[in-house]
Amino acid sequence: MTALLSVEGLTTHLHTDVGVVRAVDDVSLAVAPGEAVALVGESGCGKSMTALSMMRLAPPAARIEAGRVMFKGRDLLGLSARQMRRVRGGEMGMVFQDPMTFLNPLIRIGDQVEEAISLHMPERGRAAALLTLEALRRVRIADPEQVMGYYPHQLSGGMRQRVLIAIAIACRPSLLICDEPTTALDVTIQAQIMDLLRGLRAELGSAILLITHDLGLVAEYCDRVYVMYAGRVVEEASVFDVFARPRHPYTRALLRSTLRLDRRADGFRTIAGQPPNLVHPPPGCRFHPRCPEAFARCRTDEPDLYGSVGARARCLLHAPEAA
Amino acid sequence: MTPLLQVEGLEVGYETGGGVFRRGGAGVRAVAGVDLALNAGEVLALVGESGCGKTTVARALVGLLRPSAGRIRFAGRDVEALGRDDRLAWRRAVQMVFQDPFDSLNPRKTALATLAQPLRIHRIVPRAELRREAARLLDRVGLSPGAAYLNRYPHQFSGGQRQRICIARAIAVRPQVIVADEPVSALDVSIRAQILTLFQELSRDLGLATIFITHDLTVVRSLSDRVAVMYLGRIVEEGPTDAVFALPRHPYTAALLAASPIPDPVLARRLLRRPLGGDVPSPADPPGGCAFHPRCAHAAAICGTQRPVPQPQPGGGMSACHFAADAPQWARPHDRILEEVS
Ligand SMILES: Nc1ncnc2c1ncn2[C@@H]1O[C@H](COP(=O)(O)OP(=O)(O)OP(=O)(O)O)[C@@H](O)[C@H]1O
Ligand SMILES: Nc1ncnc2c1ncn2[C@@H]1O[C@H](COP(=O)(O)OP(=O)(O)OP(=O)(O)O)[C@@H](O)[C@H]1O
Ligand SMILES: [Mg+2]
Ligand SMILES: [Mg+2]
Repeated sequence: MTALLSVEGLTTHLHTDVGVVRAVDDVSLAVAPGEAVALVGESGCGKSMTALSMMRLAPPAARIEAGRVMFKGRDLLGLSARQMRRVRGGEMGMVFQDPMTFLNPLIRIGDQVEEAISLHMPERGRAAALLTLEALRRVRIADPEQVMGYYPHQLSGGMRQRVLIAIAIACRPSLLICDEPTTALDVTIQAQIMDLLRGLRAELGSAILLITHDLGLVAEYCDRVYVMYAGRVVEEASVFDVFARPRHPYTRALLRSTLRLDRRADGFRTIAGQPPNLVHPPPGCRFHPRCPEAFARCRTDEPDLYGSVGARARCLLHAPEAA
Repeated sequence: MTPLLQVEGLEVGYETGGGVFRRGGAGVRAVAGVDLALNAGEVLALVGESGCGKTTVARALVGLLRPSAGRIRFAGRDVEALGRDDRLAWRRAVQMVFQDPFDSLNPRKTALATLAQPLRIHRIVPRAELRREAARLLDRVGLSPGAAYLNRYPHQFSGGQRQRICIARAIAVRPQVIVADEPVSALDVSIRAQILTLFQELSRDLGLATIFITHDLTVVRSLSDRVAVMYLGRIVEEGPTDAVFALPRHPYTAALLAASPIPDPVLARRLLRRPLGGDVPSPADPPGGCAFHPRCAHAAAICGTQRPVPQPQPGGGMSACHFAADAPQWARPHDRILEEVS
């Protein structure tokens, strides 16, 4: 597989008044052209910080300590701010959870979309306006001529999110990074947006990196999965494997707490214990204090990722010597 | 049996400039005639598209918004007709938990101060007992030992812990009904499971009746006894949860169920999905006839002209669809689809 995106050993620390938060710790992941890849894990495990670090949009408190972010043969961490701006929103599109943080409430939708497009495309004037119209039409906004004249507050949450997607896909990106794109929306709007992303992959051959809590979305729309826990990737697998044969005890716990639509659960399963502290992470395996399968060495030995690329887990149960 | 809480023809409007429904004014009738009944100890889920009026119903039920029409009865009595003391008793009996645990706690108040206030106002315990009662409440919601948490401020709690404090505040006054507006949406799967378990225990152990607003149908399936589905200010279907999930009798309910992702990659890839098209219409300018007809794959001529009246359905529910009787043909219930493919 020639990767479109290949993140190698990415490490991001946040310098805060309570200490250094190890938000992203030696994360490696790859996305092939046209692939849909999920990044999952509990709140605070470092998913957003991984995506933001890759795009060089991490907050000021963040420092990238190590790693490479190879995208189409270039290390994004080595680009100038100017070169990086050209990549973002161009070959690499982004959609975030809260569209209002990216839309200016005082500027009409049409002008915002047009401005974003003109950063990356040569078209100006009427030609640019036509591109804008086409972009809004592609995300199936009804009556786009009219919507171009609206301000963001005149749109529903689902429409705003589609405007953001319209901006993200207008320049036909080869990779789209979506951080919880549908969390704030109801299921019918969510289905519309996911359908749109699926269409984009089919039409333009774009790859998607989807960050989400929702294992249902992963099952329906993704090819491969990376599971993060406490700043690290603890499992990577195909979507079929991760649901049928989860390797890491954390992945198993996550799947067990997932509710189903087709039957009533006889109780709500939780993952015992507290989420880890990323300033002083536990020694050994970071999941060991909550792991039902932990044994003595888990408290002291840091597990590696065991298995083959694309099918491995960071768990001593899978270490070759344990087999 | 008289329902504990009953709503008939509830309407609630918002002013958007010209005044509510004044001629020429631009009022929004966010809730346009809702009937609901809640029995003691029952969990009723309220679902529906974003903007359909769920939060507005909730706020009217707890007395935070005044209805422009309709009746709310508590234990059989019209709350508008209550005297001052009875009104206070109603406000105490029906408590609300809000979606965002970050916004609904005062950042300058400790857990003790947050809990002591309603205890004092409603004279639940003598002054000397306030501290012990507050600690007991924290124990009840799983923050134990409660005494150890009394002097902490909101920023010293995690999101899940803050939501527990909000629930503790709501149950402090020993209510009979909790109206919870998306209480778990902001929380992660594992913490979500803890809070859902707490709601389940409260209804089982204290006999609390609950109205639970959520977008997550998997939560509805596992938590609720009955479910009410709202679309554009009205209830379009209501019934026992298992019956509604087995065979939805309104096309909008069917669309909601069909749009919910299934956490099983093999099954998910074998299901044919046709996402519901279009956007939610504005409550300021609702479509004529059945409000859902412009988006409904099964709409006929009558749907554009006549508003369907809610009709009782087999299985104990009701549906406001002209073609509810044909539901077995169009509803594509999940259970059945899953049986077919597996
Ligand atoms: N601006 C910041 N300053 C300090 N710490 C931060 C900041 N933003 C995030 N963090 C911390 O970094 C860690 C990783 O956060 P991140 O936002 O990547 O989590 P996440 O996996 O995206 O979670 P969620 O699912 O809740 O979005 C967390 O422990 C978080 O508390
Ligand atoms: N303060 C307000 N002024 C004017 N209109 C309002 C106000 N609050 C709500 N509305 C409108 O009333 C309708 C119902 O809103 P409500 O908040 O009850 O919806 P909801 O079903 O809770 O939606 P969500 O699932 O997004 O929380 C919406 O069209 C909304 O835009
Ligand atoms: Mg995040
Ligand atoms: Mg609401």
